[in-house]
Amino acid sequence: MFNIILSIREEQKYPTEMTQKEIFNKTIMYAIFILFTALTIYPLIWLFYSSFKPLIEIIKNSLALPKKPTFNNYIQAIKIGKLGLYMINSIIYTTVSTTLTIIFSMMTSFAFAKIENRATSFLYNLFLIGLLITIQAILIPLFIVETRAGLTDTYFGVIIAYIAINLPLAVYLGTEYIKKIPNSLIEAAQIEGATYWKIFTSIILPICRPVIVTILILTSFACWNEFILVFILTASDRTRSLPVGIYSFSGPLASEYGMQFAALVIGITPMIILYAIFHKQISKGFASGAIKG
Amino acid sequence: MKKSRRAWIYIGFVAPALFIYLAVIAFPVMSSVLLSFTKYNVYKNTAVWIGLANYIKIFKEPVFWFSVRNNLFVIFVSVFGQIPIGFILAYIIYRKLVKHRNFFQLMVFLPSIISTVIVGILWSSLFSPIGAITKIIQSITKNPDYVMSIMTNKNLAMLPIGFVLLWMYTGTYLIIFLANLQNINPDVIEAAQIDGATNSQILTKVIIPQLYGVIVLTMILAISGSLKSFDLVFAMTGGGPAYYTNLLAIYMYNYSFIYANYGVGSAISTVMVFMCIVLIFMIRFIRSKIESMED
Repeated sequence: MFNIILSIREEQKYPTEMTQKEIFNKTIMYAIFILFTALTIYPLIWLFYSSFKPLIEIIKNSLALPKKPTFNNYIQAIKIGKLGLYMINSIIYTTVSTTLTIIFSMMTSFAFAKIENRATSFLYNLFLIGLLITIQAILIPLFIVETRAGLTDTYFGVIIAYIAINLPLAVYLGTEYIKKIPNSLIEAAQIEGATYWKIFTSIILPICRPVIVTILILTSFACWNEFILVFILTASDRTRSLPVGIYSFSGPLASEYGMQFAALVIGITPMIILYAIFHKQISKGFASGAIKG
Repeated sequence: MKKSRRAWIYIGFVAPALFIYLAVIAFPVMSSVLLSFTKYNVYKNTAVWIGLANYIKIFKEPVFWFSVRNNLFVIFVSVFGQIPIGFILAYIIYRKLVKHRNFFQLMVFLPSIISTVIVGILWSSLFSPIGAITKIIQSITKNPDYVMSIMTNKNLAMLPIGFVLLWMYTGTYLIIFLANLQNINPDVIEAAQIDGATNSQILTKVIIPQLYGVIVLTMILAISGSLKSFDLVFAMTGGGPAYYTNLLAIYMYNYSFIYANYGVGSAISTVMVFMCIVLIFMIRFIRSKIESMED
């Protein structure tokens, strides 16, 4: 932040090069960005240091730094809120659903793009309609069917739903990408006697690395942050995920601010770490997934 | 290779995804529409056809119209807040008008990656009487008795939600616009500069026309995203005070999973899908009008 203020000063040293109006515009532009930055950082910093305050300090003065920092909130949140268990469930849902979404969508995309069949245009459009479907439109029948089939409150029931909601975008991105791969590559391999499966695994998948990374990022964020499906399709601690676990802190435990803050920090930290490492790929993934709607 | 053999291979590649998609999306969507015309009995698993009764019921309820109003407010914030601000920020970064661009971009986008439920709870505690915002206002106004009451005010409770929506999603639009700005051929802009075009002419005559497609896309994104938004408001206010911050998705949730009235719940979700389709067609229509006017 200090750097930015300095750099504004440096530019102002040479008023001959800049008109008054330009200086004014620059100041406004920096002000907007600094405002956004402060609005992003301040709540997170406030949350972080507040999570180390005992409840009495939070109620007395919510702005002050902790006088007697304590890990008690974290210990309580993990113990009472069972956040360790929820974290493991979230990891299972995210990794399994993302892996299967990638495999199934790439297989389908390959068939749509490179194996001729009359059904393709109908089936492809069927998947594309899925981009416009809201979760609410499937919630009730899915809940009824899963209840009847005994799939509620199981990992399988959640994972299959997660794969399905992420398939339309993944199939769209995959198909459009594979279409651009020249047919000659596939024909050459076929002359050498390669099967479709062999072509898929040893030619198509390696070329598709960039689009697979995009699908990986979009799907894993969507699964990790998903709330309503897992909230409705699960009923016990055994299968609930982190967002649902954290949500329970805003219900009966709402007045336990310290614990609530600790739970939020636990929920945010993995995302921030991933973002710090992979922010280039993540923002690229979000930009190319913008078709989602 | 024989044609029939190739067809079997095709089926093999498509089957897993298609089966899951049909079972979890296509079939439920259709049965949801059908359910909306019935009275469903949860215990007996029977559905009785009652025509439009569920729709008439919700159209008569003030809560439904409150939810529609709030949903339109969310769409308004997205289309006239997130999208233009996101575009302006992207444009400033693209034209390199400020330093530390990577850092700013990183910061504006950061809220988009946090789970919506977490964002909702975080801001509801910031706005709460013990939260930081109350305390900051207390120390600015030097009035220690000030209590933040905006979240419990039935007329104003949507405003904090609008603010959080801006906070959370503006970065997404920044990223989308920036990626598309960077795809514009720089020679076009250079040519315009050589011809003596001013910066504002370049923006309105060269850059924006190239982005019509993306602008329409972001509006579709914003509308469908706003219509299905649930997590944030559910975690932040739960639809309260009373039902003044209800969204259609929360209204639908309450009917379906609190009152277990699946017929009415399905009718609400069908209305949501219908609104989404109508709004998207409207945007497409406006776009084609603008394009034909320019030609």
